[in-house]
Amino acid sequence: MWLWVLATIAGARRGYGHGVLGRRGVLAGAVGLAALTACDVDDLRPPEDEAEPTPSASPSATTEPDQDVQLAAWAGFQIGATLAIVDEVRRTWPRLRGRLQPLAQMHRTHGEVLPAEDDAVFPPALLIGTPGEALASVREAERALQGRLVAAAKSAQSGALARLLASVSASVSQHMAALG
Amino acid sequence: MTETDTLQDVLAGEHAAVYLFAVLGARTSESGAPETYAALRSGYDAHRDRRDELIGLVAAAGAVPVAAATAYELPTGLETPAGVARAGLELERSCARAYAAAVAETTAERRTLMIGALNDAAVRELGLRGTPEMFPGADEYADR
Repeated sequence: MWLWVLATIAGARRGYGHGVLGRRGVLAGAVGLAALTACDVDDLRPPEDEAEPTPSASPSATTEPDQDVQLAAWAGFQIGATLAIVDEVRRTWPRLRGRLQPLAQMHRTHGEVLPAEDDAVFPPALLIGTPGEALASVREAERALQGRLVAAAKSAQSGALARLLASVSASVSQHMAALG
Repeated sequence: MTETDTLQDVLAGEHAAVYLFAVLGARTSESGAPETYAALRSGYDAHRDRRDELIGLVAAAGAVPVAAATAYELPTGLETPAGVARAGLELERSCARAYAAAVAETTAERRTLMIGALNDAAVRELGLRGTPEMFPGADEYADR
């Protein structure tokens, strides 16, 4: 429930007007969605008593909204910065374009849910060397992003934001594994 | 719902996962479908380790760890290697959803454990003929 308040605050702040929560109210919706999925474990076991998470038991109950808004924007910046590297490698080395397309698509999708601030400027990717070295740079950037997303998920005050960031980190892990 | 309750829920899921991965592995030929067999074996080992870790955490919290059920309902379509892999993939996805939900309901080291479990499950999906997802364990974001 508090995230609705957070979304309202975020939407009213110019800096986040099209950003973290204002664009589609993603995080606001996440609270209810998290509650719906909290008992997925029941898929795996015989029918027993059900237990719904309660607001008082959730870590989100004691949230400082601005902290999570900033954290989500920071995560969005990290995603955008990594996408800039992937895009630059794809531009520079056409033979890697197709191979890196899933990574680029992933970051764009994640960036829609966790957008950087409108005026964010991503550092230019410095590319030197061979396609193999460029690919190694991408892997390193993805590894760093995954670690940062995990760290962000750990520090999120809101359980819903923590879940979203953890899921995004898992997506990065999957894509890295698929990249080989 | 306390964090210990959340751990108990995930533990119950791990009991089921260990049981079902054992069943799926027993239905898979190591020589006939080596990749699927290896993925199922890896899943079994990983979930058994998580189960044991969770038992320790629940006990350390002063609660009695939830016990495994005698048996669990088996998925359908296990007559072919593809069906077994599909069941394993669905099982891993279900675990990913449970871990993701638990991330939201835990803090500190317990949350760290759940984040790691979610990441591991997501990667294991690939060995079971899964493809990379945009939001493992949180499908609703992909459906927006």
